[in-house]
Amino acid sequence: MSTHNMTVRGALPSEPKAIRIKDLIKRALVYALLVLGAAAFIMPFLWMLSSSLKPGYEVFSYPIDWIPKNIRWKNYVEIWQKIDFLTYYKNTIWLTLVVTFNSLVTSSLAAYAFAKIPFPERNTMFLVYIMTMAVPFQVIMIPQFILMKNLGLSDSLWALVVLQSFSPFGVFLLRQFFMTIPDELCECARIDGLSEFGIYSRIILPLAKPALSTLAIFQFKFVWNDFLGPLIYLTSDKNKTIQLGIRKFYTQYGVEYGLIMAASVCALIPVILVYAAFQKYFIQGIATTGLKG
Amino acid sequence: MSTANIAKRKSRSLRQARRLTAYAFLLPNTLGFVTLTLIPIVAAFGLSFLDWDFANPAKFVGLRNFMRLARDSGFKISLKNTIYYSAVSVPLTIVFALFLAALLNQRVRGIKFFRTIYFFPEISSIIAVAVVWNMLYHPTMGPINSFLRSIGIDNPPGWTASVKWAMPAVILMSVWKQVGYYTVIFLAGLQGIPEQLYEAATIDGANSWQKFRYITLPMLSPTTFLVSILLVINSFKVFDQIVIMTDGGPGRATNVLVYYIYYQAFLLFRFGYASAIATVLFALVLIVTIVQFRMEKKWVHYTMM
Amino acid sequence: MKKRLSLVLPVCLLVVLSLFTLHVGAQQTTIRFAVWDFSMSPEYQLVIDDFEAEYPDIKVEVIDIAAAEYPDKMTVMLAAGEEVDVFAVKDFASYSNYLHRNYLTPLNSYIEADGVDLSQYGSAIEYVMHEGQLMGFPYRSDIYVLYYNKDIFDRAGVPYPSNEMTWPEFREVAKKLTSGEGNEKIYGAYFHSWRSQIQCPILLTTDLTLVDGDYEFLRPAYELALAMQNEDKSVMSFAEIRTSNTHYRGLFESGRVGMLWMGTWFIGSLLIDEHDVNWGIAKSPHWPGTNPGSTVEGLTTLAINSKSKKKDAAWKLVSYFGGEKGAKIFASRGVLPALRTPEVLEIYTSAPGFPEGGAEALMTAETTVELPPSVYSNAIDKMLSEEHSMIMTGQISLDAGLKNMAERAKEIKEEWW
Repeated sequence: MSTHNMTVRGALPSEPKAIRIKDLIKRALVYALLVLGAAAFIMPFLWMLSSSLKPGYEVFSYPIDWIPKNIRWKNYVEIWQKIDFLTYYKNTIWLTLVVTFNSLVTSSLAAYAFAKIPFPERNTMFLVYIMTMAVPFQVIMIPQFILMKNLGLSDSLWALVVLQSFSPFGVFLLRQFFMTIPDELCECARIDGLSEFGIYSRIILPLAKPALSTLAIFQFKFVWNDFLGPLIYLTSDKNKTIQLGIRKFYTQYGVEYGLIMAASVCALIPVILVYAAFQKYFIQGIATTGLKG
Repeated sequence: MSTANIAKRKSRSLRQARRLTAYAFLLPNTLGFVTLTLIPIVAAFGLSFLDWDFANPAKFVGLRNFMRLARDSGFKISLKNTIYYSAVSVPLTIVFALFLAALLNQRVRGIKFFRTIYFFPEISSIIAVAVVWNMLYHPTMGPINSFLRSIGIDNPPGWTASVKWAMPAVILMSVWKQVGYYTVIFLAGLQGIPEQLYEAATIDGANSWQKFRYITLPMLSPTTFLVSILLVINSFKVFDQIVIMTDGGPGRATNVLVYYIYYQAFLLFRFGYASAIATVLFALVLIVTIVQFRMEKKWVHYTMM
Repeated sequence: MKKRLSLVLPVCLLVVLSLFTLHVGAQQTTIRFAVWDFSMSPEYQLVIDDFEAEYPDIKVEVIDIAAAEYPDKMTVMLAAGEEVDVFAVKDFASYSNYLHRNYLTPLNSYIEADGVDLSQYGSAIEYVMHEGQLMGFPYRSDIYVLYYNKDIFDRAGVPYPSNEMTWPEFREVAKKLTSGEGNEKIYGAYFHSWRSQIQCPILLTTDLTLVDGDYEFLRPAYELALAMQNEDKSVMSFAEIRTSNTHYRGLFESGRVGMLWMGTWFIGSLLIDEHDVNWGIAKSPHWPGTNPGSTVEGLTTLAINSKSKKKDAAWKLVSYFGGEKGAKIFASRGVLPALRTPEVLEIYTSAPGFPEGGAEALMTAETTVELPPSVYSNAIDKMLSEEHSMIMTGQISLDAGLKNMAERAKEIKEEWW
């Protein structure tokens, strides 16, 4: 009984007929807005799809031809032939999974400390964490690279793993969510003799599934689509990621937009799958079961 | 020994124990963070006091870079543009994202499908987004101006081809592109609001708007706080959309701070100067963030009672 | 005793011999060579294969970087002291950067030792010389020529462009070739959105360069371009090109452009792309007061990293690329080499599909470069592009634009550090 239909909110049992019409109107309105918005939001993706099937010079014909005049399925074959797309794909999958997992672990641990363990320097440290996000990457890029090079980590995927597994963003995101979980829960658990780590793993983590899913999605998306990091830290072809591979189609004297779009569509699919998969944690009520029990 | 002293000793050792535990939790993340992010950031700030072109040895110049900034028209223009961008895109995004999150939180059939669609701009190639928006913005043949002309506006804006309208054009596109991201955050936040609150309000006779204002908004405040800080920080760092849509133009109409930093560092090789600009950017964001943190106590509620 | 001695000697000899051969085997040097679009340009691999065959003790390891990122990635790599022995220099802006950052090795000692004759590389080579020393070895050169669509000319009943066309004549011809509306419109000519399309040809009428700070000489060029865009409507407007991401390659190859002023690299594209345009090339139009055949040239050079520890081997690679052997391979693949002997040009112009009479278009009189290698080049380049976009979109008048250019150039040079 933890699922409630928002559209029946405000309904009193004694007026069935009037409510149903009000319901229908509301539902229709909701659908109308959703569909309108969705049409607007999906346009660029539709353009990508349509362009991925066009020969290069047709991509920018204006006004836009949504259905290609000459459908070129060959684009989807050529991207695997012209560049080492398979290697890039594998590298990107490995990198993204490793970093996402690391991020979830280290960020949730740190967020727990910031949210639930009082210690004197807490607020200052937290502010420092957040403020480091304000520095544009272009500025720390080179000092960071020199540092990493001295650690022997240039031209290696591990460099990116090491750099991106510790994200202040993740800590911030999770800390905000953890703070909405009532302290009383933790107090009760402490009285019951549970260690801090126990509270973290048995109480907080299960309650924070929407937040953890959010971080997983965002981290996945970030690493998957990251361009500047791989540009700096990956030089040999065998180490490159998808985004670097796609840039190879931007040659000095011409850009192969058809192939770029085909590759971009291929690159998009895992992100959508991950997003769709984690959607199921976005169900209202999961967070409240802990309170009732 | 008095009980007071024993109590004090106990609480001190409790505090120490707590602190140690906290650090244990923080260690994995902080260690990596400090060595790999904090140190280069400090180095970058230090570079503000040097002149360095990546190749020849660096020269210490003290505050000279900052004094140059005060006279630099390019810097002033990019600063003004950045503030303009931030001041408009942040509130717009928050309002839209909130609205979309409420819309996408409905329990209607197919909501999962819709939620995925709204995330598409975030994950679509920025080129695709720019192309579609440039098409919309086309001064003569684009649908936006065609519509404006049809309702009687004779001289519709030149959008990305106009100095006055280029920034609003970029802002609109950016808000649209990033709203999915913040909608996801708000959605996750909405899941954390206990049903009983709404049930109790219904029994008390509250309508939808009242529920939104007195339950949803306050309960969402930690999330809104998160979103507004992230948005401010990200809006000050805007770069990719600018390069793709307008390349800082026409003229310097959309030249923003990070664009100017990139120009100074990678086209003119004044890395010390670029770091000084970044220091100023950082200081600005720090001030805004501290203000937001100060106000946190006033409007952010972390637990329901 | 004697027996043992007679054994010892051969053994010693064997040991010494084997050590010697081991030493020689270990002599193989690896040079790291940074270049862009390597995987998309098979000619580079061909030259490297030939080179390694001729010099078996040198191995070339290629660092392939996508063209758009090349300058930034090189900046990071060189700043961090990554090992790179030879690197390609993309344009004069890059050349100027590397020069002022002391990344380039002066090449005169190598040139004298090998007796290389630089006179066959054209006059633009002076732009890659610094204090008398050659700092980058040119291997590729592109000059601007006039491309035209024969079918459009035929349909309009206009004779093909001669090799003596002036820019005012260019405008008149473009007017006659323009027809149609909307998506079917045929443009008499096309100016791409780069500022160089308008600003560079007229450089040949003056001794001034684009960094000198006096831009009045640009006026006729802008007046022509603005008239063609706003009055004749014989070229696509700047605003439209930017908004619809139009590229000259697509537009010309879909048969919608009558004349196009573009570099010889486009010949390569026209030869390999799928299209049905019947095209020809003629000498670049010239401004009255200059000679027919004077045009703008771009040089692509190879440089030896000043920090390289393998400069001798690096020089061998560099001179191979820029020398006769490299030039012939490039020419056979539709890339115009910097070394333009009659032999090389013969190979270049006999590529299948190369237009008849096109060889004449490649004969140049004086050439100039887009941007001189000055320390202000990058800043002024950016400034000029900004003002160019303002003028072409009509945001400011031509007078105001030229005035801004002069003022901002002055500001850049005065505030320089």
